[in-house]
Amino acid sequence: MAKKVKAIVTLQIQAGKANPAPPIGPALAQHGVNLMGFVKDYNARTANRIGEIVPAEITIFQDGSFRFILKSPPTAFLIKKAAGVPKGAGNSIEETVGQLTRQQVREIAEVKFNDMNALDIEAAMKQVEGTCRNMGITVVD
Amino acid sequence: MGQWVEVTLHVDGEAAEAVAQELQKFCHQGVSIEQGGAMPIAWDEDEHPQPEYLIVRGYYADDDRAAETKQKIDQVLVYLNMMYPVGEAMYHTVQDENWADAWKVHYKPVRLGKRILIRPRWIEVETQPEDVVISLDPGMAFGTGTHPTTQLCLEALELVVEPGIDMLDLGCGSGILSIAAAKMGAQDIYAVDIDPVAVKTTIENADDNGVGEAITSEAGSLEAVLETGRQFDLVVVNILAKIIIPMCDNNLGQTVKPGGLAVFSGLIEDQVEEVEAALRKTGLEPYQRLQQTDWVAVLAKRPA
Repeated sequence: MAKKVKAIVTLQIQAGKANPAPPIGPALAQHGVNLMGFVKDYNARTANRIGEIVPAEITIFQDGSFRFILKSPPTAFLIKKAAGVPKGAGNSIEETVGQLTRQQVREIAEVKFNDMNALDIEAAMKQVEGTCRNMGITVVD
Repeated sequence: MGQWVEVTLHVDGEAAEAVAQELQKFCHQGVSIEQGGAMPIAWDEDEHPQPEYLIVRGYYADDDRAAETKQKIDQVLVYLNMMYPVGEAMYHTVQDENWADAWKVHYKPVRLGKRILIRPRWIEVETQPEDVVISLDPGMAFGTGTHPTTQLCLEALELVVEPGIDMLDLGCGSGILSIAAAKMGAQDIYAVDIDPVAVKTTIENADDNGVGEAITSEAGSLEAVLETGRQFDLVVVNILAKIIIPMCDNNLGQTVKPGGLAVFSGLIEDQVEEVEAALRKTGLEPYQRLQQTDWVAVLAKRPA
């Protein structure tokens, strides 16, 4: 079919728990996307990942039809999991909540690489380190 | 109905994830990220136009804790801004809506050609006995009937479908064209798409419209059709020009019976001559054009 894209929307939402309320409703309804169709399909495909944030990237075509892919969890989620901390620092300038090794940073960068705007793994690692700093997590060699 | 506070930030690609992460802590079920600024009206799937900025958006209930939530978000943004410029949040209240149904306002019954009527499944319409009525639930396959390329194909079908013919629908999407052809009397329709979701949707839509028996749908490409050696009275291809042209170089014309007809849609006005030249190379003779806005469909025949 002669598909032309009119919008791409990313929803960073809880696996298995999508519902038509904001932000999903307003983000998709404005483009004529079959909302319950998306919600059911997303929940079915993420049912085994409850507790994770699984972003969905939705490509919306000119006639309102759509398709979506699941992306890797946000960097911050992977960092918290790797560092074993429940949440990042409220004020990361004054507070440190945990640490990661450079090897762990590399592993996270590898998971996220395809979803990042990074030319190589080194650049991706820099972005992950930036997120670490922002969360009050120090990176050690 | 309640109200929501919508919080929005315009940020660059590097800041988007950090901002989304922070907003997520305060917002209902997560955040959305959209492209902002000047974007093309539409683009091909394999193109990646760069947005001027990204819009990160979240919502929280406009209740007695709303002021406190706003204060917390602003505080977090102060810290973020010390490390990387992310700008300030904009806040405004929005009314709760029935979002589960709000999207449906984009779809209305459409009349096309002489007697084709496409109706969204949830809307009942008055029909005439000779109407070709297609009911559809828009979803994950292209072909909701609202796009000019689909509409042009449907009008073309009205001109070329004869009772009893067999047909190939190459790139069937939602199955809308196959369903229309079946309702006009085509008997043996082979609907293929490289996307398995499209195949599933076509089968469901065909059954819902009572023409499941006339339509066989399978995942496949032009190569797969050529391998079967089958030829058809009518071939309908609603794909973009840049896909149709290489298909022509790959014996697309062989799928049409000698003396048979073909319809090509998904062409922008200035691509038509190039597509017609490609059609001639694969043994087809273009004989008519249909146009709606800058979209064109070409009708062609294979000499007997």
